[in-house]
Amino acid sequence: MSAGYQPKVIGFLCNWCSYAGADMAGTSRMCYPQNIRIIRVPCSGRVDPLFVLKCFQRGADGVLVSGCHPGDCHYTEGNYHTRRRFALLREFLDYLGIEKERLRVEWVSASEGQRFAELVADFTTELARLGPRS
Amino acid sequence: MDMELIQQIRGKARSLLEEGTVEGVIGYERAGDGVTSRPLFAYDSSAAERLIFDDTCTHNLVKYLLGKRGKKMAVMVKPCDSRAINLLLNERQIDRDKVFIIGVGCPGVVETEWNHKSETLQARCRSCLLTKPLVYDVLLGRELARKAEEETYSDILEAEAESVVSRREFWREQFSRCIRCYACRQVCPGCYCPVCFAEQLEPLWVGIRIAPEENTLWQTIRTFHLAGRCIGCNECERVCPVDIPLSLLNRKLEKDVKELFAFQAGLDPEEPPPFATFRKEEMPELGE
Amino acid sequence: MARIGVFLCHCGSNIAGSVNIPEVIEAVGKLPQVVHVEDNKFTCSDPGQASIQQAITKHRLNRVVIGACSPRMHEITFRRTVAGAGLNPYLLEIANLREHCSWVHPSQVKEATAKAIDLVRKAVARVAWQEPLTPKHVGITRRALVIGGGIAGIQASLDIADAGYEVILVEREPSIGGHMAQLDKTFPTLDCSACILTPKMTTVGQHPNIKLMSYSEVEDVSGYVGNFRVKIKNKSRYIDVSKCTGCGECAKVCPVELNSEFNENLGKRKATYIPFPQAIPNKYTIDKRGYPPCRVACPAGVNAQGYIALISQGKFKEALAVLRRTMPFAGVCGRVCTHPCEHDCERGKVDQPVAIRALKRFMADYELKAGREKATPVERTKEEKVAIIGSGPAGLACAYDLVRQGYPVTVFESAPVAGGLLRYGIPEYRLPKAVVDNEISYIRELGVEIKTNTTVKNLEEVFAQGYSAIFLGIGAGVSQKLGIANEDAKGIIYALNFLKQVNSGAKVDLGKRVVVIGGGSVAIDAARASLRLGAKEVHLVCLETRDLTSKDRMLAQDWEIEEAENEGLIIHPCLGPKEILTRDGNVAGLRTIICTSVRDTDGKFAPKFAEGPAPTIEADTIIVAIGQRLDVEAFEEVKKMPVGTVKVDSTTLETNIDGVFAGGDVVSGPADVIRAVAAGKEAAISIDRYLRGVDIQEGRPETVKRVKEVSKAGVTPKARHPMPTLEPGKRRGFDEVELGFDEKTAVAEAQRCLNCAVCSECRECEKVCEAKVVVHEMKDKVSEEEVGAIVVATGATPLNHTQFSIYGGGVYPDVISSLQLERLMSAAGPTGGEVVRPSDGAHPKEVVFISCVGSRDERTGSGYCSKICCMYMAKQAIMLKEHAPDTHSHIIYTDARGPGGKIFEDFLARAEKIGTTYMRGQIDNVAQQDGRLLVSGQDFLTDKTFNIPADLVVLATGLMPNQDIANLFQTLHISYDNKNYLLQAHPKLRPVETAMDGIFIAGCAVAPTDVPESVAQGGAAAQYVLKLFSQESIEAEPMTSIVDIARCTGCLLCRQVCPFQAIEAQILRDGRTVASINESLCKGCGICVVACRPGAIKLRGFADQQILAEVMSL
Repeated sequence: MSAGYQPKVIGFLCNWCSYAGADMAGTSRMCYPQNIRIIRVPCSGRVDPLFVLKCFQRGADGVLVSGCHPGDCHYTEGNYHTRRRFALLREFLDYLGIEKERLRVEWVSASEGQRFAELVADFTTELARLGPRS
Repeated sequence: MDMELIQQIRGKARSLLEEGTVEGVIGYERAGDGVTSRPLFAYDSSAAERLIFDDTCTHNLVKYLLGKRGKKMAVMVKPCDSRAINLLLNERQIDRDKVFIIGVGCPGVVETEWNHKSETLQARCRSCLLTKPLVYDVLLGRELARKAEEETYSDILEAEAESVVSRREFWREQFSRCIRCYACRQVCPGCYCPVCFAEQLEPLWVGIRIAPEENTLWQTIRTFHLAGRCIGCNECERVCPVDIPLSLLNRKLEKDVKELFAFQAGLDPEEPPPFATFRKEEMPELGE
Repeated sequence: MARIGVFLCHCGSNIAGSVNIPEVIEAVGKLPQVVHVEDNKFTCSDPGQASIQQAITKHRLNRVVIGACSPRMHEITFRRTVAGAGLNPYLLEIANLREHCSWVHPSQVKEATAKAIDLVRKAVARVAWQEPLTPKHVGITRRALVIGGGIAGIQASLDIADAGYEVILVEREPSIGGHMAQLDKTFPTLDCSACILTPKMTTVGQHPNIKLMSYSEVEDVSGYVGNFRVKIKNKSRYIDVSKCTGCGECAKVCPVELNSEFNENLGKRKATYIPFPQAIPNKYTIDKRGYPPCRVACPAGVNAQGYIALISQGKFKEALAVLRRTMPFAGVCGRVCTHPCEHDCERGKVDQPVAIRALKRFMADYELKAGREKATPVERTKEEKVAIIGSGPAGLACAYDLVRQGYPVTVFESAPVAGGLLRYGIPEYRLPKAVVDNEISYIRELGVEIKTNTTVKNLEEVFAQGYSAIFLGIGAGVSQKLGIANEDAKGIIYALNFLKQVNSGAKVDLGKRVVVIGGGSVAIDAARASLRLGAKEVHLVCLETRDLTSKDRMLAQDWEIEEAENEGLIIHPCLGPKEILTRDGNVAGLRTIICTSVRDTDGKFAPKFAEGPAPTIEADTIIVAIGQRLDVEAFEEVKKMPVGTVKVDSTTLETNIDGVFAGGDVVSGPADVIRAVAAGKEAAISIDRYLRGVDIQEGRPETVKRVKEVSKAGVTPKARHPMPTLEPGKRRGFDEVELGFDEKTAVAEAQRCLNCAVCSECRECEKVCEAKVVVHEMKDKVSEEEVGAIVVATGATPLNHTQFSIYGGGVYPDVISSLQLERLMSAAGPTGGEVVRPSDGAHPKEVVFISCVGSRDERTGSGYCSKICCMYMAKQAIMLKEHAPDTHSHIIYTDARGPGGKIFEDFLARAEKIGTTYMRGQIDNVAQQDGRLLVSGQDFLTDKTFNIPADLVVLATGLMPNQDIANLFQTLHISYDNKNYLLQAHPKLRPVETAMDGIFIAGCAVAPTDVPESVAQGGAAAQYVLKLFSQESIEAEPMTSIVDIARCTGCLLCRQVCPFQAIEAQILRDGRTVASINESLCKGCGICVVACRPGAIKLRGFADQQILAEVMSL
């Protein structure tokens, strides 16, 4: 990653799996790029596509929406709704000129601290590759 | 003009009004230019005599049912408009018992502007496969064998083949022209929120100033709120005073919804819309 | 106006080490609405909390932001702090400066500080929009559910029950006890495991507060803390547990024996069993795993496993009775059945399928030889008379089933003798008439009236005679014609006519050379009969190929083609008949044409021919055997298909005429006996339902649950017994070719059966059970229970040692698992406590233990230490020495520790002191040499290789939760890791709690634990349950959704997406319909909020405004 450009990343993490997974990354002292700012939501199903659009409007380079793995949702089925909503939004954003790679939907469980750390690193690298949004 | 059909329509409207079946009939009348047509709300049999139907009757009158909730109304519905009926039934916005649907056979409507009527069929009519309304109480006019070709989304596919940068530039230019008159919303049968997200203050989703980024947000969310709901009447694009090609937005989502969720809006009033349901095993690659 | 106070925690150096706190203070102080900022070394400490409370008062704060560790850690603590100062506890927001910042960006002070400022700013923005919330109080169902009946679950149950609350203990095995029940002794005190466990188990069984639901599984959980609703499936034991006395008579007669799971496959148990003598409850369970493949494959659903199991026990009469429960044709089908059962036989995957057909025939032969007792007529309990038209296998099977249900049944047959195709179509050398006669007599004796020489012309007549239903089973009796030149020549004969003449004993003159046209079973029968009638040369011409693997293969069965060739038949495959050559009006030969393909890619008959040289075969007689069809003129009133067969409903076999059913060849076209029998049986079901006036379609076709997996572990290959036959040279008359099994062969062959379904449903147990508790038709029961708290103690299982072939596991019988050694040492074990080698029963002198098998190694099992193995290896080494002082144990370890205090370490020392060789190293190979095992590897301490000759190798396998347990955890909404271990609410401070309030965890389901730890955790979980029950009510999470009715459009999309059925339609006074949320059911996920386009739903605590404020702050 070039030292100059630091992509701005906003992550919406569900309280039960992904936020806990991010906590686990911290407890395990796994280092990852500092670019991400995490917003806690009860369930990835609470993430309104509007929030994501506002993030991009406010200059975010990438947005992560993360919840429990399918089947493991604390609220049984919230992440299935998340999956539908954001599968469509990603295509639509790409069509409007925001690369779909900038919106990630990822399932991270409470035990996957390492996965979370790797995910942030990978996402940040990818965003750096894409460069700043014009 | 098919005078026989028009007489049938007027006759039906008259009897509905005289027998008290409905309070009013929503239909078309000739516009002031003498060429195009405009909506007519007929509340008595004399008004019913002004009803017409021809290839200039582009309006989707179903929209007006939303303003007449609780009243028994009859409405003229072209095959394409009937999808809006199904949408509103699905979303519980109209009561089937309170609406009398006068289905009309339609050979397609043409491009019109004030005082002018072209011979060109509207694009949506060229790919319309409906031979008669999906739902009606009475069907007037002939059911038509259509020679339309199935929608191929060729313009959308072309846009998708472009680079993301050129799409970005394209839409930036388009949205920069938006004056936020909200005509697209006003005419849309799927837009009926008591308070539109674009006009609420808490939270303030869309800034009040008319700036490209706020306009972009407005159009993006407007379209996304219609995902799996847009029934393709294309009235929004027709009424847009600055000619933003809104059908390129609506039909992009229509295409993706069809591909991802095998769903088309307004075909079946009972089928759950795409964001009301899910399949556990679908899209296994997303997120893993 | 919000007055926000920000409190920044250093967390010692945990946060302050990478975040420049003064810089954060400065930046935060400039934020609007922030009126106070302070930092603290440890905010969670008493002085830290006191400082917050003072600041709230002093600065009149109405919002608080704390920058500290994760809210998942201390949110509750700080809410209490804030509430202590009189502020609503929800007017608090925590910025996660530790887990999400300082700990993950340790050496980047600049970036971490910038991020910390962002995080605090975000929290400030959010908290400004936070509203005061008041939790509601809900009642508690003071009743607990404990899942898992191992020692942890037992302890939890007893502790809760002793405190006076009701407990439902659910265990999926037939008995509680878990793995501890399998142990011989326990470390480090060498207590007898059973002696200390059994009293606890008995107490559970007898405790007035404990409802034990064994052989049960939790299927679904809904609700929330204090108010869970649980669906529990009680798997059918096929034994009425309330009355079973545990006497064991059923097991004595049970013919099915399989490896005992409790004895780790070292001993045997029966299909009806109690896992171990001290089991609680001490009741039998019949182990059924679905239908065996043979039964599923049989069109008539004959339970082959049932009679084979009894044959294997020498119970031949009883075996035949099992068959006769389904159908009457042991002798017939034992000879001519196409036996699809054998094709699907699981034994075929080991070596060859069981000779099921031969065994079926054996039962009939045995009875015939011993002399059959006359069958007792069935009592007529029904009025309605049933007419069966046609006495072939379909008609007779139908009559058989109906007469046994008490119907008066009459069979009408136009021929002089009954039997249809069985009599007239199949030659004597394959199916002797005596066999057919015997089985028809049996059906007659039951009460079926058979009127021969009686042709039925129309159905109206039959109904007029007072019959209420008719089964039409008249077969397909008209031969297909060739449709080529000279088909009317003298010397042409159609196969069915030919066989009928032969079978009626008429003399048929064939001449010297016979050509049979056709490739099916009838053609082969005709050819073989011709050979027997003295034809010098018999040729068979068929379109199909002799290559029996081709899609265009001959339709006759493999064995009959081979037998016919052995007998001298000459087959001319891939040829079609072109022209019949004649001389003076007599057949002279057959000109053929080359056939290149018979069936198209869809399998439809569509022959293709090619020009080219094709042989002409001389013949005196040509027998045409190219198929049969229905006589189209017969029963005109019945609707037919274009091909001429009767049109019926494929499930119920109803024809177009009310009360008339049809089946067999008349419907299917020419098929085989077993399919005809199946059709007859199906029609019998329809006729019975028709006559009783009940729904004829319901539950049909029957869904059969095929047994899923059939274990073939430990099955030694043993060839199928061939059917003895008459030598080809002696086969000139019509003597039967197949000779049948003798008793010894039959028993030996029956013993090859793998008992796929475990219980064979032979029903011998029913006969001997004096308490009459066996109920083979029992169904699983699902019950619903309400509980307030749940303890999950589902345990773990040692890894299967046979998967470690690198250590000889699963390869050499004398490489066993530690749990197997436990069973060998147990006085109640399969050897009565004698430690012997599985291979030869010898006493092992040199024993090698290999540690960490599947532990601490991601490649072979798990990356973690299973914790208990060091100790149990030491225990087993000590016990081996006690059992036989000349035993010498070697323990090859990775690390050897006794974690758990001094006595644990002393115990290891004791093992070493008695002469156990401890060697730190790695195993390279375990091989067999001179009847012993050779363990070779590296000694890490001396850096030398070693080779230890051993009599027994014990693999100390690690623990792993059951892989299918994840489904349960998903139902409970509790988190688990990739190895299916449960996650604790906090790994240190909340070890028996989960993230779900009211659900607690204990024992090996969380991580490997030994017995005392499991007991301690079980007790701890119970204590949390009791703590919950001691509260008067519980606070319900106030973060629920609420509808703004002014904005709601009543589309109710929210209701469709709510996973908790918390949303209902509400009709307002103005007639509008709007959504309404039941707060006690709402769990606050917010799925509905996003679904609501008009923005009418707000999730308290996570309102749009709050989250948006966070976004806008970044």
